[in-house]
Amino acid sequence: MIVMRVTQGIMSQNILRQLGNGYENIAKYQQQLASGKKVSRPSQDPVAAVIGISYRRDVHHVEQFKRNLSEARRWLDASDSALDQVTSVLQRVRELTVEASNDTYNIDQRKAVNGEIDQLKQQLAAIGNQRVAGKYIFNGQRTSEKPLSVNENGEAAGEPPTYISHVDVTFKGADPQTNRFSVEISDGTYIDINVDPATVFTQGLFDDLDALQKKLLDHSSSSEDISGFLSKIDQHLDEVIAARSEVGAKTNRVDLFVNRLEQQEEIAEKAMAANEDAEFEEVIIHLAQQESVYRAALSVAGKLIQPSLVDFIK
Amino acid sequence: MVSTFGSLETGRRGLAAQQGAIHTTGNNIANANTEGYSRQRVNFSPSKAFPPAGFDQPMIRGQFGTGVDIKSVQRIRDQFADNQYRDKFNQNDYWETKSGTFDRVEDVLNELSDDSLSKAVDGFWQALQDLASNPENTGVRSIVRERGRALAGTFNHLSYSLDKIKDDLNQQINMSVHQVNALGQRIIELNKQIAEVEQTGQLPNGLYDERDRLVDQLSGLINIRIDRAESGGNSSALAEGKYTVVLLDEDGHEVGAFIDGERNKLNELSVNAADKGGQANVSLSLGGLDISGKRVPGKLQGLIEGYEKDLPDLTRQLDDMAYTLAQAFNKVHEQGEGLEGSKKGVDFFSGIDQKDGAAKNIKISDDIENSLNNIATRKPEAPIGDNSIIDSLVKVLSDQTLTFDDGTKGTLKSYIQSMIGNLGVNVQTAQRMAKHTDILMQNADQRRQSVSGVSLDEEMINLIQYQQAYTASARMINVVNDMLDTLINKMGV
Repeated sequence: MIVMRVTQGIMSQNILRQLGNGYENIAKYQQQLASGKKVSRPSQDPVAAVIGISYRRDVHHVEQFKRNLSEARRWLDASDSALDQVTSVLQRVRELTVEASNDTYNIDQRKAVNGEIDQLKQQLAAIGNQRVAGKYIFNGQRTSEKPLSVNENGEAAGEPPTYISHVDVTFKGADPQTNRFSVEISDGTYIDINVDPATVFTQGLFDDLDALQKKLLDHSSSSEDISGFLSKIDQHLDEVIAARSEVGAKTNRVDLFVNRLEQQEEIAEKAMAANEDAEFEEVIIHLAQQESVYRAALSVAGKLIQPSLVDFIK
Repeated sequence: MVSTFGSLETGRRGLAAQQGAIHTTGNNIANANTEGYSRQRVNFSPSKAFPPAGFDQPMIRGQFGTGVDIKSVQRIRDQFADNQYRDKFNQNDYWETKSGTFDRVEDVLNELSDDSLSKAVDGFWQALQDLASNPENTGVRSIVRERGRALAGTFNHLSYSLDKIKDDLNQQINMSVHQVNALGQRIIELNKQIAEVEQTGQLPNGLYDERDRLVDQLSGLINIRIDRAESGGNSSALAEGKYTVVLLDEDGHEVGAFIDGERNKLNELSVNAADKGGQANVSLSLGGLDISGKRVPGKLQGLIEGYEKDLPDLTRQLDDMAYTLAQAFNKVHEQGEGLEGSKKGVDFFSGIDQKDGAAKNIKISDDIENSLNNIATRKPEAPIGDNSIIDSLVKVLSDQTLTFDDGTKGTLKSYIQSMIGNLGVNVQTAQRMAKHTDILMQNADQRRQSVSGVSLDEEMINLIQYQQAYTASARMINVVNDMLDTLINKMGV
């Protein structure tokens, strides 16, 4: 141990440095309080900084996937309500068919039924051409094209062709390659958010309706000829219901993912907070400690700097 | 017997010597707060005794002292403490410089802030995701372009900011070398003045202090050793001579003499820092002799390392990231097609023909700038809602097989993470070393001050001591005066 010769210079330098250190600590805790962050520069804790980048990424991804999911939900909800309408339309067609197959119906009444079916066809086309945020949802990836085209002055129908007007609806070819529209709902997981158009608004459906209308206008049609369509209509109804239950299943899946993402978000945010955020109680206590240390250093400095032998020699 | 008036002379010498000591004490007190001042001490020695030895000496029994002489006024200084302090100061200045550079880099590359690179990547990714669910939406397309611009802009900004720091370092290197030479010039002048004074047998304490102060400053910039060359003439044994300043490398081996004390000649340091073909290079020479290969620690070395290595390394990593990402992105983008009537085989990013400077030059390609329709989302001829290309573009941002220069494979994010992690550790190390060497330097400085610093208590005690001695000498003269009075006036004649 070297015995040091301590001079006033050394003393005041030491005091100055200690005060500086104390003040630096106070500033550090104050900054933590002000920013709410324990780590504001990578060098303060490189590991926390690196992990922090991952957590931020997670939070961003969760945010985005939630947005994708709400888009999915919008499509599915729109599809579901559309299919609900399709079901009612087909049910009405079925009712009309049952009525018209009654032998008591004369040709005029059947013509009236035919007219209503024309209307219903148009309604079906309107439903099929429904758009969500400007996009046709029943046309696979061809979101900017109408899936169904309506021709209000179609071929004259009936036998003999005496019928005045006829609505033609055409379904523009289904291509299985382009019928899926999917979004990413979590890293690497995709979900189709549309109803495969080939399963609902098929040309088959409209052909069958056309055939029904032809029979309705045909004087020679027997009631069996007309009631024979009931099974076909039921088949189409089944297809719609099947599509609708698929939509329901997808909606469930989307809801499940929303819940999961909300949990993930909470976890990611919590982890990020634990990693970077300052704990206020702790910081305030540290700050109070540093303040009292600083005060003590100041008062000691005040006592030490002042006197030297000069003060005691008269 | 000594002569009648001999004691008066002894008293006079006493008075003069104590007065000289009091004067020196006063000087010490006055300089108590002067930086680099070494306290001074008056060395007393008894004056020559009477009678001196010789054949013709008076036959007196006993030799009588004749009082006191001031032999020298010496500054109290410990060269070993000086060396230690300079050594620590040298290390500290090196680390302070490193830490200062890294601090600025950290300001630029602060991934914890809101305008970070990873944030720009995330923003771009989000926009691409939105486009994947709305491929035909022009509004979303323009957001993709905007975020793409922001990403390229972030690369540009970071690269530019690093270049700016590098330019500043270049200036600082030149300034530091200029400072080294200026200090050397002044040391040479002081060497000359000191030699002139020393040859007369005096000790130029003030000049010594001044010269040591300059050497202190010099030792922060470059690693040096001080050798001494005698001034010759009538130099005192306490004379410190002319300084020879030798440059040392990190192992303590001589690199060459910066100041030759013997001939009092300066070998100027000269530097040339420049970017040659994208490669930052600093050449250093001492008196015309190339010493670029030697590593002379100190502030200058810290600056050179920052200029030659630390910053170019980071720029290279940014270039690597910008290049690798943009190439992979373009490769997917080229395969796709945008909206109706868009061009095919279009690049999304441009300015990335070569890896060197990719971060500085990367931008959105002209095709994309000209028309949002050109942002590819679908396979050629596929319907508008086909989002397979945009999905693949999204995947590029989280592609784990991107291969970077250093051989690592991983996502862009993981590369940013490793870059930031490394930077954080480097900054931390530099800060820690700066703090650590600062404490060592303070300790060395205190050891030095404990030898050379002025203690007011001590000076006050000395003052009392010298004052008392002065008073006693005066009293002595009084007594002799009384004796003479008795002898002359009171003895009967």
